[in-house]
Amino acid sequence: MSLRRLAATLLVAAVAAPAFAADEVVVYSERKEPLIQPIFAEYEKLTGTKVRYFNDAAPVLIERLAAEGANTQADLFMAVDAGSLWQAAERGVLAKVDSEALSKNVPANLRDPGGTWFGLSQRARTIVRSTERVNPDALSTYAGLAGPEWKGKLCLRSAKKVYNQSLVATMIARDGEAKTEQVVKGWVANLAAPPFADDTLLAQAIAAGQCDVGIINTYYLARLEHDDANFPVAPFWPDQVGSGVHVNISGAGVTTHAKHRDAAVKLLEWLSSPEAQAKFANVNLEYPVHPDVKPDQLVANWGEFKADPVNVVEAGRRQAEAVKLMDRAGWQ
Amino acid sequence: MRPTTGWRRSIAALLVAAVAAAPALLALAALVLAWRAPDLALWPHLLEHVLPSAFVRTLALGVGVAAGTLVVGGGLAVLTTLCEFPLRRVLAVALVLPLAIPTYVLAFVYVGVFDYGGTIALVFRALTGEASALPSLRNLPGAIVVLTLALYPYVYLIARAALARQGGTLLEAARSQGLAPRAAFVRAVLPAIRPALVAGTSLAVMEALADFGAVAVLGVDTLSTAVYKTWYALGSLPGAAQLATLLLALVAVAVVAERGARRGAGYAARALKPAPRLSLAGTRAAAATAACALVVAAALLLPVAQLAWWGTRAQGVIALAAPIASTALVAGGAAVLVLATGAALVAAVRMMPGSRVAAALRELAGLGYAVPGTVLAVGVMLALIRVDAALALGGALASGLAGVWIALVARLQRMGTAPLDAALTQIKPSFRESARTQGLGRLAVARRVDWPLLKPALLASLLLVFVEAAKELPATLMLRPLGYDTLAVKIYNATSEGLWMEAALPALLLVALGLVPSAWLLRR
Repeated sequence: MSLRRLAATLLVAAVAAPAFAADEVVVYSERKEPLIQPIFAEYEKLTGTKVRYFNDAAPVLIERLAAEGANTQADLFMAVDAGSLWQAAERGVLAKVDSEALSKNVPANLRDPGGTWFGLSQRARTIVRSTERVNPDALSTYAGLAGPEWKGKLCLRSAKKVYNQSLVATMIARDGEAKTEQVVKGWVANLAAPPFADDTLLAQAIAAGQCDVGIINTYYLARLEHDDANFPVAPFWPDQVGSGVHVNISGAGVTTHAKHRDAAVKLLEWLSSPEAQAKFANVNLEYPVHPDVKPDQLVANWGEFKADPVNVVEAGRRQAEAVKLMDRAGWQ
Repeated sequence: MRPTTGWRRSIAALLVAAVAAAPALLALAALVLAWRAPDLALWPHLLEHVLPSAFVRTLALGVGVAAGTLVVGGGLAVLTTLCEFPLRRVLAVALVLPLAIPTYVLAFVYVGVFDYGGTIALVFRALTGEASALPSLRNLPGAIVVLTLALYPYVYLIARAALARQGGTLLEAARSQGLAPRAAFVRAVLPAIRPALVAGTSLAVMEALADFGAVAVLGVDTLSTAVYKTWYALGSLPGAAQLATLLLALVAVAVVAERGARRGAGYAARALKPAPRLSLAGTRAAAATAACALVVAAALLLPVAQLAWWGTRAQGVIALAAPIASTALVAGGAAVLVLATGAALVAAVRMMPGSRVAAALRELAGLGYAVPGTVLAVGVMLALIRVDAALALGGALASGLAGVWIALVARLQRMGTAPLDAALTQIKPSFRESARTQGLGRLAVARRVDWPLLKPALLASLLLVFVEAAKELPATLMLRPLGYDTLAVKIYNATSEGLWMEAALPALLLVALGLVPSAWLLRR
């Protein structure tokens, strides 16, 4: 045995090499444990396939996948934003999947035209209002929040959050940079408080009276309403005569160097199936991608809305552009 | 040291130092190498719209946290070691515990309690009818206050170790020469503990500069947040690394200033026996108890109470046995390695007085602490994966326990060197010389002169590194082996989705984990 081999063997022994069981899928997931563990547990119970997962931020996971190359343990990559999925595909860490079930279950604008990733839930980022101080008639569009009547009444989340970046990116795609920058500057001028670190805090600020309106992902509001049926904040569906509500996705794709490719595809297909979609929507209070599956009752009570039909890849393609625009507008 | 064997020792010392510094050097090299391809599309934008204001804020945050932690941590260390007042022993232990509360958890608790929609603010408005009577915490002054409360234990712990070595004896000696307590303190004690104060403060400032979680919650954009944004949002990891080197340059200036501040520092008298504490009475005693109690309430009781309240409202059962075991394994292993490599580095510098190479290695290895964690960790990850490929290990190095340990050494090295170095500075060379002239051998000198003076610093260091490694997030998150989720990872998993109820229990356990070694260390 050469010295190099010996050193290698010793090191492998020292660092406890991962065991590859036959019925197993390893997931690199940006979606966090509390919102994904129940679904994976269900799948394990159903099929006997063990699902192991590793959480971190999507940019880290993509970098890791790229660096590990053929040595990666990951079979599936899961992210909570279309931009991240697009980035992963760009880096070549996702493989094309041809699956009749996936094509049937996931509408075309919610998956990669190149077939490397598939949306698993929809996340509507909409306007929310105080039910005590704001009449829905006063609201119309996202751009309307830049008007002078909202001065000192608007709350926004940090521009560092990808959800806001994707929203602005799709605005740029539709209305162009100049018009979008004007709107974003108007929003910043109307802020009642410095941008918040998360959507829950923002909704709570509206409830407490610090501001009257804001823009958040609906499932945060759903969780708050779940805990307190009288929470004084309600969603408003903007741009219903125009482009529709901004919708992002969470989704997943099989990795280029998956060791358990077939098992990974099976898991992905199951996640898009009506049974799993219903459970998924129930756990995370988001909107299912499967057209036949209804959202959770609490969410369904808000009524239906017209969603922006733009393919979500636009969000990824224009993310850097959006961030620079937000910097210029002074959105912290 | 005899000149004939000097060069052999020097080479050996340098080799040891180089090995000990290797993890941090690899990661830093990865950052500097990012300049091979400057991100020209990005820099004009950063320079015009991001960096000027971020630079000013970062500087102000650093200065504010330095002043805050120095006053709070240093002041309380002096009070609890040199003076006697009611509840002193309990308060002295309690003052260490905020160490185990991650900065971003404290920040979130404070925003949750004091910001506009928070409990205190709601009560305040209900009582006074004022719309905005409480000042907002989500700004630079708020960030300085919260980070000071989270980070003062570094100064407190290291200063206490220094005072335990010698404070009482010095004070007694000065007073026996007729100095009033205050003059005796300023003239005798303060110069002697200066290296420890500086070492602790520099750790606090570096952590504040590299922090991302807390400043994000508090809405303050710093150079560190700009680094993250450049990678995560603008999609440029090289640009983020380039920006991180800018932050490093800022810290390097601070480190040089620190070295300057330590020059001319006093030496220790040998602590033969613990000196009696100065007994405070009347209003002074009450004020001392109140000052300690106030900090304990603000930095420990309030967050623990809020976490406990959230914990009772958590839904579902969270399995915590595995995260506790993972935390002990990951943080324990890292603590031992950080301390061992830190001791090697400090020893190498001491064995070669005047050697710039050894001193430079020590300082460079310590810089890892000032780099935003995720960016440093990705440098370690890329280096590990390369070594792994070169040795044909099949990915085992970067995905095993060794990987996360190496990353933590790269990140926390300064925790191993700074307290030890401050302690060694206090040992007067003449102690050893006089011991040698009394016929004691090298080992006997080490055992009877160095060890008693170093022990408090080593134990303080071990606690510091263990707790720091246990709550460390970016490197642990990125490089933990599959299935080794620590408590900090569980906290992150819940908080990043805004699920604070689910984060409460792991956060409380993290505090409890810090309680055991703290209580043991300060049982005197």
